[in-house]
Amino acid sequence: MLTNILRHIPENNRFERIWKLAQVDFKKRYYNDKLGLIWALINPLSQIAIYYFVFTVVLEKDEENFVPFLFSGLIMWIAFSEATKTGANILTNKKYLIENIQFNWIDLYLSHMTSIFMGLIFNLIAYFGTVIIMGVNLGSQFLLFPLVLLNWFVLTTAVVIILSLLNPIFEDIKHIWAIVILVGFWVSGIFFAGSFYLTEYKWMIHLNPFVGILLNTRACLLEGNEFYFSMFVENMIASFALLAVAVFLLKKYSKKVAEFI
Amino acid sequence: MEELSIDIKNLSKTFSFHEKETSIIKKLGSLVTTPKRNRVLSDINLQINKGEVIGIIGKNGSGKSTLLKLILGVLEPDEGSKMVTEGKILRLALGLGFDMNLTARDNIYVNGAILGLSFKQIGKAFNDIISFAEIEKFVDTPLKFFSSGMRSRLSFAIAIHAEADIYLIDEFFGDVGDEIFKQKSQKAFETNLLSGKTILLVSHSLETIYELSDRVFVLKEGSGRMFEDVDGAIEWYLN
Repeated sequence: MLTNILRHIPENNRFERIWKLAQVDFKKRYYNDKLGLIWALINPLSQIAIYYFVFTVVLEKDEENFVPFLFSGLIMWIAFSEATKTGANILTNKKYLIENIQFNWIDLYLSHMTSIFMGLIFNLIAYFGTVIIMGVNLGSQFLLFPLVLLNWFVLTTAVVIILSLLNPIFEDIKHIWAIVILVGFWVSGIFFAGSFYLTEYKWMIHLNPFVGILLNTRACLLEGNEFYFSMFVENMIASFALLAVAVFLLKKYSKKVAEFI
Repeated sequence: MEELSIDIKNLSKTFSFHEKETSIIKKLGSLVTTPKRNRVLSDINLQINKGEVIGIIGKNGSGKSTLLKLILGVLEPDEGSKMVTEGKILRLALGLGFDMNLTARDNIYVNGAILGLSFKQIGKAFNDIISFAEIEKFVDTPLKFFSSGMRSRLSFAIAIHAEADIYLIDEFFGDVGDEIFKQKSQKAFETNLLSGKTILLVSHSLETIYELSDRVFVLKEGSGRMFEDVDGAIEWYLN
């Protein structure tokens, strides 16, 4: 369908290049495997099954709609984790492009993020299917979800750019980032409502933008959750500021980094 | 008066690096110690006119690829200046950007997009590329099942459709295939790329340099010298 839409857009090689690289990246991740795109679904579903067992059966946590609660948090986090871990290697992986043509490096990040976003959309469709089957309603602020996704996109892109610039010079960054991802996984409110931080450890909300992103994701995707506007505005400002820093670093140091690729 | 396409003045490039250390203590130490320095190009002067074909020769490690990367703008010089008056620059090397897990069809679209072609242009050239590369029966076969000759032919067939103002051609005629294909590719190269475009041709094949170059730039231990006479350049290089 997207290819049909693209046919009606005037010829633009830059746009087409970004789209083709994203398409190929997505295809490589899933299509060559026997189960193809189903793997994109099996990953969050298997995690949901494990955590559901641990929290509700072993720890006897009794919470209403725990499956959609976990699902909504996990898909946003898994997409962030995948985008940043694979994105850290983007300059090395795309060396053949960097060394052969003149183009804006931003295109690399846009194609990478588009490819990750395609996977996220696929998982969101699976989420909507799940809540329909379970008879659970979406959140009252569902129409604000594109804004939350924009917040996620801007923040993730900024982190990917910074990591990819550091990685060729300081390769240990990928191990440090793996620890950050692990800590973030347990403290960002995937398993518990991040509103807990409103009363305790309030600094966590300012330090970790994912607390706000997950809270507002659930306000949009799951009934009975509140949308925190002030947190959303703060997150948006912080994410755009981080993106501005990332783009500045990219423009200033890209040629220096190219020597290490 | 001839119009300049590339004007390089007193350009130098030095790389700084740390040796790869295996011990953790030495690795940590490399964070504070001064890196080693390797001056790859020194005081290069190069003026190229629009539509000229300049051969570039030099031993491995003489700085040929670094010079191309500096012209392309991937790297920045330490000293000196570089001015490119024409528009788009493209570096052509065989096997550019192929993904072995993708089919020939996908690789044609990816490479075409990388080489500056729109989807519409790639669609128009698609059948020509396939028949030129002689892979009609393998359009939807992943490249990992291709022989190296098939890959080289496909790479060449895509590259001759590229669109740019300045071409940096890096060992493009390496392993293009059998003698018949070599002749066919030479002819296609002359028709498609040699038509008034500015070309910097890097090759270890002195025969290719001799046949195609208007002038030759020889790189020796980081320094460069331009020869108006191709014979003289090759003689100086060999001695």
